[in-house]
Amino acid sequence: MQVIRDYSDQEIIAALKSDRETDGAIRFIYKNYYGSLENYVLNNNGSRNDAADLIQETLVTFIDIVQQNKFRGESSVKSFLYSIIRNLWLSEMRKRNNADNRNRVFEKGKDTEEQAMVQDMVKREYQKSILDLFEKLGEKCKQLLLFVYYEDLSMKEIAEKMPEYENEQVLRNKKYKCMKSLEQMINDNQDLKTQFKNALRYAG
Amino acid sequence: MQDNFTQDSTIEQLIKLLDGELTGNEKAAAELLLQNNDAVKDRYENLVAARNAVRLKGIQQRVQSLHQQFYPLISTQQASTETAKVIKASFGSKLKMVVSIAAMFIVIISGFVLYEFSTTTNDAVYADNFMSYQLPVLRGEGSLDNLDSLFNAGNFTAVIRLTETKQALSQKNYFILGLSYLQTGNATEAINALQSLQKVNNGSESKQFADESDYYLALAYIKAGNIDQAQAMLDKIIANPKHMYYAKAKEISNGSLTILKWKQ
Repeated sequence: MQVIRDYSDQEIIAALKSDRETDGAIRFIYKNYYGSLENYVLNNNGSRNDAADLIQETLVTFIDIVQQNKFRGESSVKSFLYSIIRNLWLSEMRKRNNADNRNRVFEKGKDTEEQAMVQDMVKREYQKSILDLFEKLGEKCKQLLLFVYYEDLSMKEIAEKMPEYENEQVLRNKKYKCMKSLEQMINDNQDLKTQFKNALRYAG
Repeated sequence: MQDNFTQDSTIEQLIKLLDGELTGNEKAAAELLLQNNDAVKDRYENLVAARNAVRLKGIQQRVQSLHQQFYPLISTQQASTETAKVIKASFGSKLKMVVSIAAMFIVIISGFVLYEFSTTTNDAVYADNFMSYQLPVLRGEGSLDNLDSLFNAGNFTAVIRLTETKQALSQKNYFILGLSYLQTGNATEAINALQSLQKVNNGSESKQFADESDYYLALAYIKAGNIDQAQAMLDKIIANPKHMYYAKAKEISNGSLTILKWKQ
């Protein structure tokens, strides 16, 4: 069984910014905060499955905010996770209560850090729509773009992982092609930008 | 469908700019184009959004993978706290089988009823339904004061001691005090504190911890043996399907509270 070491808040932040340490920090968060985050959802009419989904989304949001250097540590990690899940759950409840509401509507942030969090969550709704388009790409394209933009691998490293492509130049051309396809799908989808601008208006 | 931008390779230049592959004059030319051409700027923003979405996908996959490792451990822990009954049977003829199953059901149901009746007590119902409360303290809602910190740290005796020294209590103070009394097993004082909170709420436009106080007051009544008052409070919660504790109140009211009433 894997031993999970203790992390201070500062260590969690540092670990989430470092690819090698990220998994350890996520495990620590799961071990120490899963129960109280789940309790929040259960205490508010949610099911265990709702909690499992929401906690994953909370973590994705938190990691994204940390990796974009938008978390300044003015509140504790636990409090911040709590405000994310609270916001996600409230907006989910609103969404469920209103069948016509295609987008989640978030509360206005109460201070600068929370406003940054809310803006990030609004953008995430927009990004989710883009992810739907991303899923329409071929498997090779998806894998390649993840290697480039998530794992931040060099073309040489990717060439080793994708030997079916003859050389780095072929891979580079493939990357342009994949990004062009994704961009074209985004550009052709007029609803996306309207959706984004409307959502931002709610976020305040 | 391809458009003019992709045909003339502008998009490819923008991707190179995004990826930091342009230098010198090429970079300056691309940046100038971005400044002066709104359509190009829009396309560049699309690319930035695409890159961010791919990054998000990577984070999602990573969290999902760790969740799948961690979730079975949680499920196992949860399952081990629930009673599982496994029935193994062996039968001869069909009639014998039907009679045996019926007899077994009667035995199981009788046993279950007896078991439930004997094990359902005020304290057991309270313990089954009490959920420790974590204050969702957010920046902007006031800083984490000493009382909140002590409460979140589980130091309930200190919360009670510190609250006794306060001249006037806020709604939040009353709530924290009520829950601290519950945590230390003093249902009577918990009832007093939570009733005080509800009185303040009734006279105030700003209702705080309203749903929470309904639920925890019902639990405090159960623990103190005031089943009729507990039922009245649960009925109040059940009358409002939007109440935060609607599902929990319904579950208690339909199940164990009925047995507690029989036993009164």
